Amino acid sequence: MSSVRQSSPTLLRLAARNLQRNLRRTLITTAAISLGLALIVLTVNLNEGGYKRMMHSAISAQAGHIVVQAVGYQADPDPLLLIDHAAEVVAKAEARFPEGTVAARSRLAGLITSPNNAVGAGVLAIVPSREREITDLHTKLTEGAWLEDDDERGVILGAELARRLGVTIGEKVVLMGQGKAEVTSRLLRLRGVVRTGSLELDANIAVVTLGCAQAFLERPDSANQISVQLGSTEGTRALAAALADDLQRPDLEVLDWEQALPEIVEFIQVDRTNNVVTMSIVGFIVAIGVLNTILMSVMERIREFGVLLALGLRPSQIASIIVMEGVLLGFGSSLIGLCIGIAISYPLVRWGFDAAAMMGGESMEVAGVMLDSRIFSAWAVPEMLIWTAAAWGMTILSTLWPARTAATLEPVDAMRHV
Amino acid sequence: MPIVSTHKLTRHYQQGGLTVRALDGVDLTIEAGEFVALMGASGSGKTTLLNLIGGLDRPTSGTVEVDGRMLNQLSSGELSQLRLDRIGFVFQAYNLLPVLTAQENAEFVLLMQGVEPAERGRRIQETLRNLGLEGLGGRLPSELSGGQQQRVAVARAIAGRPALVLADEPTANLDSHTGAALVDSMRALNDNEGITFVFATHDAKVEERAKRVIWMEDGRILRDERRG
Repeated sequence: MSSVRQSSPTLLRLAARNLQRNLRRTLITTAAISLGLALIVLTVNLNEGGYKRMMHSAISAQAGHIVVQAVGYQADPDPLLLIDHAAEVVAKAEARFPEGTVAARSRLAGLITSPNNAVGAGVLAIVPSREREITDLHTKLTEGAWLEDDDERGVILGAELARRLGVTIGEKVVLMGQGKAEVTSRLLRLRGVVRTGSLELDANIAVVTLGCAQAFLERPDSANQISVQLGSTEGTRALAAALADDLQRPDLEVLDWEQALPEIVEFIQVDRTNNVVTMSIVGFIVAIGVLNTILMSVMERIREFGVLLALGLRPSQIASIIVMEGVLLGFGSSLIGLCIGIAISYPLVRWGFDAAAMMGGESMEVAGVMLDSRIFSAWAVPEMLIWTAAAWGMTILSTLWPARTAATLEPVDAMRHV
Repeated sequence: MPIVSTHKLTRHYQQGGLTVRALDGVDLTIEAGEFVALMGASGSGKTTLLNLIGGLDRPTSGTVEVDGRMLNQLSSGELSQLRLDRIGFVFQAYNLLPVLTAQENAEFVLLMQGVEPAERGRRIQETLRNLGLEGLGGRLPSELSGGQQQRVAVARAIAGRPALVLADEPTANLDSHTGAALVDSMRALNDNEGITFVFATHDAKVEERAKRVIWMEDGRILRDERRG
C-alpha cells in the first residue's frame, strides 16, 4: 500500500506529461471546456442580475421586503380590504425598522372620464414623499409636476392614458369606482404625465395620493398595504414575524417578500430550473467531445499501456493515470473557464448594457414586473462555483469509460496493438 | 535453484477457425544466473514462451513457476507485483515512455517500487554509467539513437534489481556493432551481478555470447545446448 501511495506522484507526473504530449489536442479540449464554462458563468451572472432587478423592482413597486395587509388581501386584492388605523401600523413598523422606509399604499380600479373619453384605469394611491425613496416612478415624469403629500385632488396619468382621455396638464378628469358602499366619483386635476416605457402600463396607470384614496373610499386612516423597504432580501421571514408580534393585530397578515410575491418567486425558480437544464445540455455536449478526445488518446496508447502492465503496473494504476489526466485537464480548464467567465461578466456587472434597441423600448415587462432597459449582471457566486466544480467533475467523469477500457487490457494483447 | 520452471506448457490460439499450437508441452528449467538464448525461426514459439514466463499471457495448459511462485495461482495484482519486483523486460521496439526522459524511464520501475530517493539516485547513476549512458539522462527517447534507446530499456529492466530479465529480440532493430555492444553489456551484468537473462532472438551475436542456447521449432524444444 505504501508503494502505491509513493507511486501516485509518479503516475501524476506521467499524466501531466501525457497531456503535454499532444499539446494541440489538449489546448483544443481545454478551449472547449473553458469556453463552455465561461458561457455558463456569463449566463448565470446575467440571470442573477435579471432576477435581482426583477426582485428589486417588484419589491419596491408592488410589495416590499415586508408587507402588512388585511387578512385575505393576498388571495383577493379587493380595494375595500383595508388596514384600519394605518398610521399606527406605520408608526410601529418605523419603530421596528428605523433604518427602513415604510410606505402606505392603496390600489383602486375605476373608470377615468374626461370630456372626450372614458377609460378604465388601475389607480395607485401613495404617499408621494415616501414613494420617492422607494420607486423611480417620479423620474418617469415627462410633463407637469409630481404630487404633494397633501394633494387630495391631483392625479398623475400614464402618457397613453392621458392621450386617450385627451387631457393636458391642469385639466379635470373624474375618477369613478366602487366606494365604501356604492359607486362613487371624485373630481381630479391632472398634475403630471409619466412615460414608463411600457405602452401597456402607460395606457393604464393613474397615481393619486393616499389621502385622495381614503377620501374616495370614505375610509380615513386606511390603506391596502403597508410596505416596508429594507436593505436586503435575506432573513425577511423572521423580521416579518417580529413585526407581527409588535402589531398584535389578528385582522392583519404580515408577509415577507417571498410570500407577498409568490408569482415572482415561482417565475425565478422555474427560470432557474430551465436554465440548469439548458446549461446541462451544453455541458453534456461538451462532455461527449471530451470523452471522444480522451478515448482517442487512450486508443493511441494501448501498446504503451501494455508496456506499463509488463513493467508491473496494476490495471488500476493504468486507469488512475487516465483519471489523473482528467483531473488535471478538468482543473486547468475549469479554472481558465471561470476566469474568462468572470472577465466577460465584469463589464456587465460594473456598467451593464442598454438593451433598449433589442427590446424596442425603454423598458420591458417580465412576469408583470417592469424592468429598465439597462441590463446588469450580478455575481452569482454559488452558481459559478457549482458550475466550475461541475465542469471539473464532468471532465473526470469523461475519463471513467476510457480508464475502464485501459484497465481491462491484457498485457500481451495490448503490446501487439499497432 | 531454478529461477524459471515450466511443465508441459502449452499455448494454443484460435485463428480463423484453426488451432495454432504456438507452444506445445514445453518442459524447461532455467537456473538463476543463466544467460539463455531461445533460438528458432519466426513462429517457433520463442516469444510465446517468453510472454508466458513473464506472466504477460496465460497458458492453455501446463504451469510456469518463476522465482518459486506458480504464476497460475497468482491474482492479477500479485502477478503485477511479481513483474514489478522480480522480472525485467526488454523489447524489440524499445518501448520507452516517450514523455519521460532517459533517466526518468530508467528509474520508473524504482519509483513504482517505492525506492527511497537517495537510493534511487545512486542506483540510477550507477546503472546509466554501467550502460554507457552518462550525460544522456536528460534526453527524451526521441533525442536518442536506437542503440541508446535500447540501453535505456535495459537500464529500466535491470534498475529494479530483478531476478530475471526477459529480452525479446533486443538487437533486431540495431546495427551489428551496436547490437554486439548491447549484448556485451548485458552479459557483463549477468557475469557481475548474477542477473538471469533469457533472450528470444535470431541474432548470432546473442547466440555466440549465450551460456545456454535452446533451439525451438513448432512450439517445442528441439535442442538444448549448454556452453562453457
